[in-house]
Amino acid sequence: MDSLNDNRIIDLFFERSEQAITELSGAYGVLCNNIAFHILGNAQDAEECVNDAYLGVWNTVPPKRPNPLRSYVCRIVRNLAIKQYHHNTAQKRNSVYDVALDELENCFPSSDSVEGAFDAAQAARCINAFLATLSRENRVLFVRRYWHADSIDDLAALFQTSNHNISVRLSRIRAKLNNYLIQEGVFL
Amino acid sequence: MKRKHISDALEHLDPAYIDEATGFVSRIRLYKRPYFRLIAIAACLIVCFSVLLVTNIVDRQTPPIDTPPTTTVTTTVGSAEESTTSTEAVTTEMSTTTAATTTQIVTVPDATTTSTAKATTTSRKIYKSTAKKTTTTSSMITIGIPKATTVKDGVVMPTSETTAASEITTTTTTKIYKSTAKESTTTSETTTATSTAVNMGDPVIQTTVTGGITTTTKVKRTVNHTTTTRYGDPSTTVRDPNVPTTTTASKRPPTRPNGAFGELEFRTDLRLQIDKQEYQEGDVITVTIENTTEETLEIDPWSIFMASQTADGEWNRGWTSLTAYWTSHRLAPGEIATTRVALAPSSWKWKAEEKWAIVCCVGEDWVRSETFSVYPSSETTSASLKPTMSK
Repeated sequence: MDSLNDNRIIDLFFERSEQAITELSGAYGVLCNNIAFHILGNAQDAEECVNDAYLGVWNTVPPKRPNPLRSYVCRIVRNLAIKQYHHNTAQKRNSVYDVALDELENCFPSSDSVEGAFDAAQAARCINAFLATLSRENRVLFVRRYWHADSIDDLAALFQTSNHNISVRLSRIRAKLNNYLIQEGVFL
Repeated sequence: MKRKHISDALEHLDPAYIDEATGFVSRIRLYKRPYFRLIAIAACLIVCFSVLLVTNIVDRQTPPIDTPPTTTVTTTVGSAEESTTSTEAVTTEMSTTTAATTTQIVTVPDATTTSTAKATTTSRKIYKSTAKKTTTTSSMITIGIPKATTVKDGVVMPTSETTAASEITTTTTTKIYKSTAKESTTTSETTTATSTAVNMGDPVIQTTVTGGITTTTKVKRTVNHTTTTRYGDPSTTVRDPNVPTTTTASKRPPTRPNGAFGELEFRTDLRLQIDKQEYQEGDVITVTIENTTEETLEIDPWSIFMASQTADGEWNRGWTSLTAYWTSHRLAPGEIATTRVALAPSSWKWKAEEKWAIVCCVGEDWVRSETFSVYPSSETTSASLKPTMSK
């Protein structure tokens, strides 16, 4: 059903119909706003990011035909939000994304030298391999916390459990990640 | 630096994991959905019903026996010339009817006996709702002079009685059963009411049927079309439904990177018109474009930008307003299109000394307005300052 809806929206983009943006906003607008807001902590900035993301999709489709469309739009929104976040970061540090990055920073062992440090792509491969070892629920929990930048309250509501339970599960996942990265010799 | 590495590493997460997380619904929430409970209740009911069906004994209708079973015994005295035993099976739809007749001819030499022949027939008929033909036959052959005998344990015992020979005739019964199903015809008449959505200016057709005569009346009805305008909405025009409209795909605007426009060349024969040169944060700018050329112009509906001009004359892209729509995207010579751009409060931190312009794409070219200033809400424009009366 989702893929049928996605194909319909992409067809509208190919036809250069204005309805494409409206349909995209209707399907994924709330999700994109949530992602941008969690990273930036500001509603107006989040709205700007989402609008820019829609323009980004308009400019790239066609010729691209992204599948799935949902994660494609979310990626664009997230990238734009992070760019804006880096722009704002000198002034304020109180967004959910900040807190999530703080948590994850301690997971990654530090390298003694610049030469010994892994680059982002290598670290990403290790994180993907680590995620494959987790159960589905733990993997979803990790991605929603550190990629979507969902708050603890949002995750507790999603998993129908308490905030304390989510915090404990996340700390265990981070401990496992830390052990995994040490075993694999990944240093940042 | 480490945080940036981590942030960059997270950007390269497997899209399958991202999609899995985005579409995740917890099991508990899944099972709380109301239709799961309904499915569970329906399944229990089906199981109970099937158990009841299996444990119940449904009697099938047994066919009535129209005559008690009988057997036919024929005895003859003298030499038996023929004996026949025939069993005829009549097959019906659901079961088999067997009409069995047995003829026994017993020879009793040298005895004067009387015979009492009893004719019996055995038949079993099954009555069905469909027409069936059941035939029962029995035949006997009489040979010689039958004499009365007593049969005991299959052994013929001579007696002293004498009787006249009697003859047993062949009987054939045929019964035809007709279906008791009666043909019935049900007629029904349905009337379907149809309604047609009415748009402004549409003729309305009314059809009435009276005494079998159909009358069609066309009535023209005017519907008032109301549009609610909100702050920041573009101006709209009511489209004449009698004028056919054609939609053509607009060309893609020239690709520009986010952030810096750099050096842009704008058309000099076309200019966007704005109503003021100084605006306050929160104002709405009415933008107009008039096609002063002799060709038809195609405007990209999504490329309405705010751009700021740097000190050395270059342009930076500010932000895009997706709430601004041109009233027309194809402008014939002399035609005018308008839109409204809302200067909604944002984190851009308006500065009065900055110069802004509205920029849009026309075909493959860029068109802009005159530059203007935007005052933040804490300051006031020079146009809004009122002269004080001196006493």
